[in-house]
Amino acid sequence: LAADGLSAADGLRGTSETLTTARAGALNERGPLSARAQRFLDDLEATSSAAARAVGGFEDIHLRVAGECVRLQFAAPALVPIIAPALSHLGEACPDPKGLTVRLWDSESTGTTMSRAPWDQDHPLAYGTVPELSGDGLWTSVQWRTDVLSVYDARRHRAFVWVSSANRLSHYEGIVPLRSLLAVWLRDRGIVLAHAAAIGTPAKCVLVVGKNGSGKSSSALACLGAGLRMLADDYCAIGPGAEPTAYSLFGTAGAHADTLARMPFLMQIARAEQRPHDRKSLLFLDRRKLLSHAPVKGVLIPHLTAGTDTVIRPATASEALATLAPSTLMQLPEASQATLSRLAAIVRSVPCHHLDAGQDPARLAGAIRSLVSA
Amino acid sequence: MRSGSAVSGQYFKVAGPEVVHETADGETIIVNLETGSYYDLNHSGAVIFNALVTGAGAEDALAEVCLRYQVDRVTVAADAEGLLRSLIDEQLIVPVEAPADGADSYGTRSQNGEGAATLAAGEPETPAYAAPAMGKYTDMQELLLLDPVHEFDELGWPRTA
Repeated sequence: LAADGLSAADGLRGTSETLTTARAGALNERGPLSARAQRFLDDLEATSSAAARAVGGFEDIHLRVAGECVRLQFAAPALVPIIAPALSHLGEACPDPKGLTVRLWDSESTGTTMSRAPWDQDHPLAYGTVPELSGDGLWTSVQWRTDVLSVYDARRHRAFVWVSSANRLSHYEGIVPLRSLLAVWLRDRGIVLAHAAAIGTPAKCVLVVGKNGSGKSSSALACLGAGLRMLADDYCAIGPGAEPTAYSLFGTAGAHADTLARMPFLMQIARAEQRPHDRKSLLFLDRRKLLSHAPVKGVLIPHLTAGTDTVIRPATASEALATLAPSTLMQLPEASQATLSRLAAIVRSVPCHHLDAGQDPARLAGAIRSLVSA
Repeated sequence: MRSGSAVSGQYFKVAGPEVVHETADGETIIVNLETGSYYDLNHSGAVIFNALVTGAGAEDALAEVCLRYQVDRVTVAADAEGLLRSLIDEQLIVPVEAPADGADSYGTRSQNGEGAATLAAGEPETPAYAAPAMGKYTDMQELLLLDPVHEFDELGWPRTA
C-alpha cells in the first residue's frame, strides 16, 4: 500500500529531535496536564462542538476495534466517505462509556475556525509527534503533507482529528484511516500495530511479514481465492498474551495491475479504485472475505520467485523478527523497547516459515491453506 | 581486542532509549529508532553484546565467548575488536564508569530476560564458533521523513507550501 504518492510513514515521522522525546514512552505516564495542554483540549472540545452545531449535529459511527468500542463522531459529513469505508467491516453497536470517542471535523465544510496552534512556531515543527503537547497521557501529531491534526487524550478516552479542508486529506487516509491515532490508543491497551498482512480462518491465522514489495499483499490476496479470509493487508493489530490474537483494522488492500490480472476473482469480491499517483489499485474487500480476529498460529516471510510452485520451509524466530521489527518500529509513533520485546515474544510463540511464493496464485494459496489447516 | 586495547577494561551501556534490542534464537537485532538503521549480531556477537548491556565488562564478555565456544582468548579478543569498535562507532553502546547493577541503565533488557546469562540455557546447543559479526541495514531510513520547510497560516497551523 505504500507504493503510492505518499509513503507509509506519512503522518508518523518527526524530526530526530522530537522522535527521541516522543519515543521515550511518556504516554503511559499520568502526571498532571499542563495548563497549556488543558486549554488545548478544551479548545478542541469547543471547536468540534461548534462544527457539529454548524452542520446539524454529529454523525456517529460505532465500531468494535480490537475488541474495544470506538465511536467516531463526525462533525463534518465531508469526512465520512473518506474515513469510514475502510473501517466499515468493524461496524457494530458498541455503547461502552469507556470506549474511545473520536471527534472528526474540518474547518472548510463546517465554516468554523480552528484555535491558534499552541506550540512554538520557531521550533522546527515535527510532522509527527508534537513534543510540547505529548506525554502525561496526551499525544499530539500533525501529519506530514496533509497537516491533519490528531490528538489522543488517554485520561478521558477521547481523540480529535481536524484538517483545514477535507480536500487536503490524502487518499492514504482512505486506505488506512486514523492509523497513527489508533496505534497510539491500542498501545495503551497492550496491543501492537504490526506491519504485517494476516490471513486465515476464525480458528487460526498466519502473519505475512516483510517490507513493502516483498509479496505480503499478493500472497494474502491469493488466499482469498482459496477459502481463506483476510484480517490485514499491511497493518495488523496483535493483542497481548502468550497466545496472541490478530485483529483486523482496515478492510482495504492494495493490488498492482499484474496481481489483478493473475487473480481475476478479486474483482468479484472487492470494489477497486484507481487513485491518482498510486501504482496500486485500492481494493475495498467484501466484508464476507474479512475476519475481525483470529489466533496467530504462524509467521510467513514471503520471497517472490519466478517459478510457478510455492515452497514453505522453516525459518527461525530471529529471521522473522529481523523481517517484522524494523518496518513496524519505524512506522509506529511511540515505538519503544517494549514494542520490540512484544514483537519478539510474538515470533517466539509460533512457528515461523519462509514462503517462496511462486507465480501461480492457486498453488500459492494452496500452500498457505495447507499450513493454516494443519 | 588485544590486551591493552582502549576498550578492554571498560564497561558499557546501551546508548539511549532510541536504541532497542532483542535476542531470538541466539541472534540479536538492534534498531536505532532515531536514525532508522538496524543491525543484526550473529550468535557470538550476541553473546558479547548481551553480556555488555547486562553489566559485564568487556573482558568478562570475551571470557563468556571463550567459555561458550571453547575458543582461546587470543582468538576471541582479536575477532571481537572490530565488533566492539562498530558498536561504539554506530553509537549503540557508550562507555560507563561502572556496571549498573547487572542491567543496562535504560532498563532495556529483553522482556523475556534473554541475556548473556540465559542464552546458554535457552539454546538447544551452541553452534560452532564464528567470529563475532554485526550487519548494518539502512533500508528503513526512507521511512524517516524529516521536517520539511513549510509556512504557517495566520493561526499558526502549518501550511504545506
